[in-house]
Amino acid sequence: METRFRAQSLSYKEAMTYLFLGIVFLILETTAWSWVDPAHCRPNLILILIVYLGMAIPLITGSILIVCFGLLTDTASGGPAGLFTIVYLLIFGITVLMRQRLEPTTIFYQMIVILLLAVLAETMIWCILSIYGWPLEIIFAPSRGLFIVAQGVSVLLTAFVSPVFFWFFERIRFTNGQQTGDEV
Amino acid sequence: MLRYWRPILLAVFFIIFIVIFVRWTGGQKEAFNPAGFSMEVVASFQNIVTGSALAIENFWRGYFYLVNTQEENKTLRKTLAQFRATNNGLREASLANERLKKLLNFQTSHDLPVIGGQVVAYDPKAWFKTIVINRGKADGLRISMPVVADGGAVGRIVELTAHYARVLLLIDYNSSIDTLVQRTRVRGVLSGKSAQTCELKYVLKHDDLVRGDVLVTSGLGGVFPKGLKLGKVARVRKINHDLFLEVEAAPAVDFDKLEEVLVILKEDSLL
Repeated sequence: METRFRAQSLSYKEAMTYLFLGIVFLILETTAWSWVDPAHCRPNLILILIVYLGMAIPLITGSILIVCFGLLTDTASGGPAGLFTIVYLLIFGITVLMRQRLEPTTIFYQMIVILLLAVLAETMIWCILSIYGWPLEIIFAPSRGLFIVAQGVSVLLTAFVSPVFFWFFERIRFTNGQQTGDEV
Repeated sequence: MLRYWRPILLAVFFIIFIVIFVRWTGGQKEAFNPAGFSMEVVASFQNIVTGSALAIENFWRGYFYLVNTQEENKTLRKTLAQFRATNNGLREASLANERLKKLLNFQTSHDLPVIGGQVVAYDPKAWFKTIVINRGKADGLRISMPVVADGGAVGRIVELTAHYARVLLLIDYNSSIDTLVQRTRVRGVLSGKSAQTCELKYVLKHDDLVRGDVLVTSGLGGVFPKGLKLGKVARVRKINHDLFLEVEAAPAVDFDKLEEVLVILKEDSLL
């Protein structure tokens, strides 16, 4: 099974659809998902969307959307202002710049790419928090053992479910493209 | 002679037919009855038609019966679902009642002006421990107001909008609360680690502290009133070269199950 993505500019309707999806994912993460999974062992759906957009749309158009996702996450989270905006933009930028090499040709490769980018995103958060004064060893503290496990499970789940969401995002793009008459 | 072969043949066939028919009914006591014969034939058709009609009628009735049963089943299921929802709602109301009673007990025992709030959102990322409650500036909330639950202290308000407030939980890395050990009055600072446990810092090595000691707010720092329960000492470790004890504390409140909170409305908030 192969997947191919081509970078094309977004129509207004597509952009709104992806923004809406991002908001839905964020609301899900802060409410329903938190009730059933307080340990945060959950896939990072926004990250999957960001990587997909990084492979599917141009840098400038996509950056606006990604900034929106980042700001929304920053608003919903208690972290330092701008943390997720920076991390999401970096992940998006890396995906766009390495699009040719990263473009997943098989589902397995796609999962590996998402896994690496999810690990990279968490590492970036960790590094930025250390600039804010968090001790680097905090995630290795014995009391945070569960945190590391939860993060590991979260990263694996993100990679595992990514093909389904890539297919879903691609369908949205295809459907919107057909309706608006865009070439997909 | 050949001219009459047709009537002769007809007569022969008729005789043969009569003979065969008489032979056929010969075993029976009743003599051949043409009316009975015709009735037999007609009745056979009637039987077939009636049988088919009955079958159709049965099928039709069965169908309608099934449709009715299905409808009835649907109605019953709907009613059952409604009862289940009501039952669940009552159970939830009962649980909420218990929780609110505990909160009320807290309010009466501490005699502080408070306002209740409901948790509407949790932090989307595991790195940070904050919640959003459905009370804001419009309800009289201010930055740094303390938030409590039935178990004890929850955290303090760090962000405010007109109708919502973000609460920094005491388990967040950015949280630090001046603390007293209830039994020995030893002081320390309870710091969050963005995990399910906290760390009690700056407790001197020679201080009296054992596992299970209750930790309360000292009232210093200007955020929390004195005597609010924070948690218990979960682990104490002495490190040879260190000046202070390494103390791990378990919070009094289960943050994963937090649904309702009380905000202590104090005028002398920090900001």
